[in-house]
Amino acid sequence: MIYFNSHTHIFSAQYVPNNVVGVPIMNFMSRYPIAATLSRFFARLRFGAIDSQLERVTKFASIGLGTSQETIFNTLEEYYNSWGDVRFVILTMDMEQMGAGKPMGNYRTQLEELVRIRARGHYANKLLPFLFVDPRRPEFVNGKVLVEWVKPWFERYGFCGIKMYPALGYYPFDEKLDELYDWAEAKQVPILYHCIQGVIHYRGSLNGFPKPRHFIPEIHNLNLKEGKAFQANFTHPLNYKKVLERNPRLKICLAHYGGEEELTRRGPNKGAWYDAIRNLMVEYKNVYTDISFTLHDQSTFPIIAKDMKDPAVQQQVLFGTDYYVVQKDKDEGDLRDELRAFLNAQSEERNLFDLMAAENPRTFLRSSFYSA
Amino acid sequence: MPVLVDVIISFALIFLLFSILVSGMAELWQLIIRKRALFLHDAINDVFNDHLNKNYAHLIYTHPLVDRLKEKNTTYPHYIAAGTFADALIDIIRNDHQLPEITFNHERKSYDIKHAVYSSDQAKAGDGIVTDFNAGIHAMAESDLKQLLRTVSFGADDYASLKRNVVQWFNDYMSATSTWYKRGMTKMLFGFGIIVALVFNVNAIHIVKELYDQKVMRDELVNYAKEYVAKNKEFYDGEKMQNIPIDLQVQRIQEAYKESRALNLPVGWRLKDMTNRYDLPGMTTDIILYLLMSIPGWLIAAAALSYGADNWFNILSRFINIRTSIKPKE
Repeated sequence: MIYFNSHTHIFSAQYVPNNVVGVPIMNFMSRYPIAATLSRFFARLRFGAIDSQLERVTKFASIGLGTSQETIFNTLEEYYNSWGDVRFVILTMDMEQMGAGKPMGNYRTQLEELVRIRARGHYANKLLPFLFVDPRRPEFVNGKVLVEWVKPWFERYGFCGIKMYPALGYYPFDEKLDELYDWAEAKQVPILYHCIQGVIHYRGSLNGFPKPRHFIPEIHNLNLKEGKAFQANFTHPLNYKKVLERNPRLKICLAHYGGEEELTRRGPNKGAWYDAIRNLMVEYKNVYTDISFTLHDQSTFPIIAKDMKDPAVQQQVLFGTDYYVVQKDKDEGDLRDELRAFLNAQSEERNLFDLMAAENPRTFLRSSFYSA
Repeated sequence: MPVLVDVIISFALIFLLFSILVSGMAELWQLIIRKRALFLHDAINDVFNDHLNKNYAHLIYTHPLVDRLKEKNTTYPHYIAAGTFADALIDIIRNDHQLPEITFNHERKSYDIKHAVYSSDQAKAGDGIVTDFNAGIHAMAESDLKQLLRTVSFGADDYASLKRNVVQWFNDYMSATSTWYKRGMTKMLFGFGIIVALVFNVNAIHIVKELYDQKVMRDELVNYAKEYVAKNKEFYDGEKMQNIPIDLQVQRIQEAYKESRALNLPVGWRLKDMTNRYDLPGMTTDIILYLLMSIPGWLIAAAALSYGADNWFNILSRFINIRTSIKPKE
């Protein structure tokens, strides 16, 4: 059986602008490695909750400081050594347009580094890279240029999906993406969108942000003054309704299932994202979600298990962890094993974990450029 | 005149001993924070991180020739030999304009990899590298780095001459950057100078005054200084402080500390020095005033301590020679 971790990152800190959460810690530890040594020392003193938090943050920072993507991937692969054939969806990130300054290494360096790593040994079949697309890149003067830039990465350099992160400051129904969606729909190329409100979001000025192409009064509020709140305009799952109305066969994954808070809290203004994602999944069989990052909170497990048993959506939920971002909250090995044990205890008829980590990703990833 | 010379000799000896401490601390701190490695990385990054093309500094650091010089995955090497740098850079640029092709084979359900073919791979080792290197430069977008690489490759018609050109450029660049590094080191030495001045209460103004007033102390220090110079001349004529091994560094710091303790120097914290000095009511006021009045002396001491042990040794030897030459006339 082939298992898939459908949501991982191996880009190092050099591809992230300095003004993004986590990077100052990494830079500090890079400048003063003694800080990492000291924090590891204090973490081992075992003071209770604080020490494990410190240990995780230190581990997260030291992974991100890896000087190459190969180094980081090797740390991820180690977790799955005993699992047999495991493949990893590697989500690249282009953070150059998010208004947080230029990262040290540009996006092209990241992509070419990944291609060269895959050309070595067993990496090609293990790493399944998704190409990050940000329609605001200055060279994308129109949608045609954007698609012409995307195609060679799939046709010649082995990319097998597209990653988007609207929270960085663009709408998923941006006009420049129309031609990309037409192409992706025709080729059945999967597109994975970040769909949770987190700490990585657009950092630029919000004054005079243009009205979106499709203004949805229930979810769009352009008067918000803080980037953290404003990101909901870009990321809200109902935005994808517009995308799917235009391209109903487009294969998309709304990652993170909206986040652990949306999954576990019910009531006014709570759970709306989860409901919206789930409704889209019921309506469109080509809409998926993954439980990456969200699974660090065990209180989400019963809801995840309920959906995994529900024929209406059970084939559209993917296993992913959000390595190594999730390391600061829970260790990769722990969160994976806890979920696996929980799901396996839920049903004797069907192995729910295998469905989520082996069968569903196979369908999601199948396209003109990949099949497993 | 002899009094002034003796004061200078005693002063230089005191600052030499404490400078060993300061230089040693700075050197140890540099090792702990890997300052040299970070500085080298920043210097290479300044030139080779080309935002109009790629971060070639990253490619250099992940090239196996340089990557293997690292102590850990998360650190950078402290030193890269010019020849190693040149080999890595030439290999990166010659490879740069062609990516390996990776296409999915649906029948076999796996990826096929087609590696780029270079003229230098097909001929005997070394042939065609200049052609590939120039092709790599040609494929780059116009940028400062492209211009630099083009200039470096001028006149190179084979691998040996191209490597020689790169080595020459790298050595020249490293010479220039070493000046920036030394400037940074001076700031660090001043910082450690302040720490030492405060911890040991090394007050330059107070030391001069004490040395001038106390003949017995001065004579003892001058005699010790003569012995010290005779004993350590060979060492200071040879290796500089920053090139000596770490265990010797620690040993020298320990010796300097012991010697400074044994000599009963006009340094250190004594409550009686701080109180009953200015005839002010209350001990706290006295102490505060003592501390405020000491600030200029500490700052001068910190600056003097950052001057470096080898420089203080030169001053010491020179004034001992002057003293020897003027003594008979007296």
